[in-house]
Amino acid sequence: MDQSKAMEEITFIKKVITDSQQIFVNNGRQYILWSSLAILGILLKYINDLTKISISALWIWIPILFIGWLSTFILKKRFYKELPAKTFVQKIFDGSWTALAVAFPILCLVGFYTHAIQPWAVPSVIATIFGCGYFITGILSDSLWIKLLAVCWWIFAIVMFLIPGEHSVPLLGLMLILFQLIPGILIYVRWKKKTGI
Amino acid sequence: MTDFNYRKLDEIIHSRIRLAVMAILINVEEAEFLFLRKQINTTDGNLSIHLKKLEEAGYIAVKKSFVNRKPVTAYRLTDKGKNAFRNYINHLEGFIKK
Repeated sequence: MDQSKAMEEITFIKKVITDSQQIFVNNGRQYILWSSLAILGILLKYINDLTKISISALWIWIPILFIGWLSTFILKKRFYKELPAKTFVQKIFDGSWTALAVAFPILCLVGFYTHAIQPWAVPSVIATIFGCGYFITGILSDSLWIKLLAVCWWIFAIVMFLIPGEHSVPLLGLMLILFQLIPGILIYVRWKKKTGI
Repeated sequence: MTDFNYRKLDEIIHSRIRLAVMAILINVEEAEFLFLRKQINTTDGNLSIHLKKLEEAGYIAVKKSFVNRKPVTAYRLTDKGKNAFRNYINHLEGFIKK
């Protein structure tokens, strides 16, 4: 073996490592789950306001978050069983969304409860976090349309910060359907077709 | 002149397919057979032979399970395998630096 052959071996190893590192699975289930729960929460809040039952918003959102976390835990357990390999990028992807899912209740529940975050700002905070999640996903998957979803969420966040009002929550519901639920279904259908599961 | 001795290279790793398997497994906790086959772009039979060699050397460990009622075989690097891979890389790098 000469030096050029050794160099060739190293280059080959680097290529194999780089190629395998970049693979990650995004099956869209989390988007469907969380957007459905959030839409349910918004509907319950709307009914609550409409009927003037006046239950605290926390009593709506805490059970929803609990169901979301429990379902996520069950789905993740199943997902890791189905996963062909847990790559470095997969860890970054899962870790990023987990971190953002922790940030949600801190900002939107604790922040709301302590009055650090005003109720009118909650939709903008949620949209900002979604924007971060989608941007990271778009970068990792090198997908332009997912990066554009992030931009849409951030634009919505800015608009809602500038023009707050009663329309913020229903608009957030619409955004969740258009930019979370539908993309989630599309990603899920694509993943199903690809894996045949 | 260098004092590089190609005989010092680990012969178990020193094969393109086995080297690729080790390079993939060094990065992941474990990987399924189908994932390895797709990444390495080889046949089932060929990959099985190379995996068997690595397994016999104690470099990889096998785990068989059922997912959605389908049998799944997953592989992971053992500590012995990790050390062997690192030594292999160090040896190659040492040669290039000389």
